Amino acid sequence: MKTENIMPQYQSFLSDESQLSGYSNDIVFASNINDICDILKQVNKEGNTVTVQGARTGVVGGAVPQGGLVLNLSKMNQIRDKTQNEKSSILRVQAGVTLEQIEEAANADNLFFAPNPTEPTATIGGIFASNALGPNSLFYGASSTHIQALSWITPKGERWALARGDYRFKANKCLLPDGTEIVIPADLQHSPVKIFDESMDLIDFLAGSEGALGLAAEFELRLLPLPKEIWGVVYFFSKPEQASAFAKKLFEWNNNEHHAALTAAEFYDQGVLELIDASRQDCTLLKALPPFPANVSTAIYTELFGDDSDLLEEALMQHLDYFSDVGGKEENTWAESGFSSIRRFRELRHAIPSLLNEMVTPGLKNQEKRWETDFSGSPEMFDDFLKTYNQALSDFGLKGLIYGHVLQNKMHLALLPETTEQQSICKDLVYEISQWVMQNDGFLITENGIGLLKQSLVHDFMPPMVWAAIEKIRLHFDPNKTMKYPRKVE
Amino acid sequence: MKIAVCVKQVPASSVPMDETQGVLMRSMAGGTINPWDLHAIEAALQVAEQTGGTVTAISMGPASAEQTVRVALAMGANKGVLLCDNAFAGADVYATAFTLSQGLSILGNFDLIVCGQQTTDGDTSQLPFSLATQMGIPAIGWVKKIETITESAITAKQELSSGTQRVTCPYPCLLAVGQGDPQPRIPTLKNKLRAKNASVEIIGLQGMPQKEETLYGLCVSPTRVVKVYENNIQGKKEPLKLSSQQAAACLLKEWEDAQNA
Ligand SMILES: Cc1cc2nc3c(=O)[nH]c(=O)nc-3n(C[C@H](O)[C@H](O)[C@H](O)COP(=O)(O)OP(=O)(O)OC[C@H]3O[C@@H](n4cnc5c(N)ncnc54)[C@H](O)[C@@H]3O)c2cc1C
Repeated sequence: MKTENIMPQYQSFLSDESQLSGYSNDIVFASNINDICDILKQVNKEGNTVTVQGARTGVVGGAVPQGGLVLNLSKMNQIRDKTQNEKSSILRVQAGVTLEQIEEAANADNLFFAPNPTEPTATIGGIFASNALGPNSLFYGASSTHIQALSWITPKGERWALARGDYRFKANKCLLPDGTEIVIPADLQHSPVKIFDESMDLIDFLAGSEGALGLAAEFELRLLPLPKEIWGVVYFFSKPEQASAFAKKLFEWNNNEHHAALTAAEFYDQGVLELIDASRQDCTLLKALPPFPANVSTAIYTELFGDDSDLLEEALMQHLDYFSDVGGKEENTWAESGFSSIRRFRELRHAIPSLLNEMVTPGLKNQEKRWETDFSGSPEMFDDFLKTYNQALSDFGLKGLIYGHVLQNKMHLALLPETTEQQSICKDLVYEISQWVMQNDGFLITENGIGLLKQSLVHDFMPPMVWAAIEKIRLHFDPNKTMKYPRKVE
Repeated sequence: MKIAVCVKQVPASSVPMDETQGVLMRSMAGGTINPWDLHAIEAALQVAEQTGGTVTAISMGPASAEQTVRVALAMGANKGVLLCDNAFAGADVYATAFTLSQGLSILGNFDLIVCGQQTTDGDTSQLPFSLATQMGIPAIGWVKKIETITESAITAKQELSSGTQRVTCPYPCLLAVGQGDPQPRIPTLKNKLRAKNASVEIIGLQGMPQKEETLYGLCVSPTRVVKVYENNIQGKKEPLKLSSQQAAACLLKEWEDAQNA
């Protein structure tokens, strides 16, 4: 392991999928835990800072360095082993192993890694650090809850072995492996970003910390048996109100116990369907899809998992009844069953952020080419959130797309400014909605992290006492301020 | 119009080979529908929709190939048939086409038979023509688009390596379709559920017009698979640097040679 010059051959390591570009002279590729510990000890000695990188697929610039050393973990890509017994199946991997590698290893034994945050090239380290949420989080929760144990490397280069259940918060305190006690300041409850829950496991607390509190080097992932039946259904609606009414019915259905699990419910508005249509010719995956049914403006994609074929069928029939109750036409549905067959529906879902990432309006500054938010609020309020987004788009005369986890009320609003004037209006719109979201006890950032891209948004809505609380936690973990991010933007 | 569409189960992953028998061990690889056949089903359904006809999906294969027939039912086919018997096993193109022709003949007189142009496992592109020959009907291969359908004939555009060609065939006839547009439809939820529970008619040797076992399967298959390998063509193509006059002369000569050939 040696530190190398970033320029010229590693220039692309100054950027990630946010398209933001940073600066740094040096990069080092770690291959194991000892490498990481040695590097961090050296960095502490030199008073330098570190930016941790996985595969740089993050969309908010979390892996974009702002000086200091770049510590890249993508070469730590070994799958250690898989252990299976009646109770559980565990896959032991290094932090640089990708979602695709994990899926392949799991599927070979009829298992799967439930969180599925969709980007196949993302590393498990990056997924954990941004606590990525895939469509299946509706049923399976956040990625971190499927992590049984991990090797955590503190900013000072010490290794902690964390197993789920070993370190838990009681009230607002947790004893850490180094014998110190971390106390969560009460002010954190006013945070516009969800950070803390009482009785949280330390593993879940560290998830989503975006390389600010240390780094995850190895994981034990909990794999689940593939269900016997897996169905994916796309429901197309001619009017957006029908989609909302259908989602409400699904929401109520999902509040009751069933033998079939509704594992995903993703909303695509008209802009999303138009974007996909416009991109068909340039994308092999989209080209192979038949045209959307005529005169539709919105869609909801659902996944249902279950082991009993008849009960799952019953659930599907029930959903189909809901669909016709709201005025949906049976011929405006697409259905597939089986893990490999629903893959193209998943790829369609994944194509949306991919296409958005590629969209650059010529002449606009990179950072501002696109505004993408991931507000969230109480699940019961998803329709109010949808209405607020649509109202704001029409009030401000802006083009935007809405998609995402509708039943969890975790949807993305992507704004596509076409001129410099529109860029500044975008900011006003985001701030106006942010205010509304905060008034309704929602969160401003849910899915992809804060990174560099959303620091100013968080800063503007983060009360000073919350900043102070975060700073206190950060200093507990990283007294020498070795880890680059996040910090208050002045 | 009475339409039949031939569908085949192909391995979902690469297939190991039984070297002694010279046959592919398909059961080891898991099955899926041949992707070319999805286009055949789509073409058949579109013709049926335009003419008010019916579509019967037919496959020859092991019991697991029933799932392949169900794919066609889910897309909208009216009936599904599986020709399944130990006697049919190990069939090559000729023997498969014979078995299919036997099966089709007992299912009634079809006006139109639609096949995928090729499969992803055998890859010979020969089955549609062998089937048409054994049934004594004309065939149009490499169909890119169905252009017109009348009461007595169908006109299709073929995509050939030398260009495109429009061909009209009277019924009964066979079309072998390529993988272009229109893209195969995705089943609706209702059709998919219906197909899951629909019955697929299974026809074995005893249900065939010709019942002698020796007419089917491996024993009448003249071809043997010796080896399965990827054809790694690495021909280096040097670009020609020609003036426009030289290029025109070159093209002209090629055209004249083709005319004289
Ligand atoms: C097309 C596309 C679709 C996506 N869809 C989704 C989606 O549906 N849901 C969703 O939630 N996300 C989605 N994402 C974003 C996804 O969450 C990130 O791509 C992924 O989580 C980051 O992984 P990475 O290895 O690329 O990390 P990077 O981008 O390299 O890093 C991301 C952050 O994690 C930190 N980090 C990386 N590795 C470690 C480590 N080992 N220890 C500590 N910190 C570390 C970095 O410092 C940085 O802050 C999508 C991204 C793309 C490009």
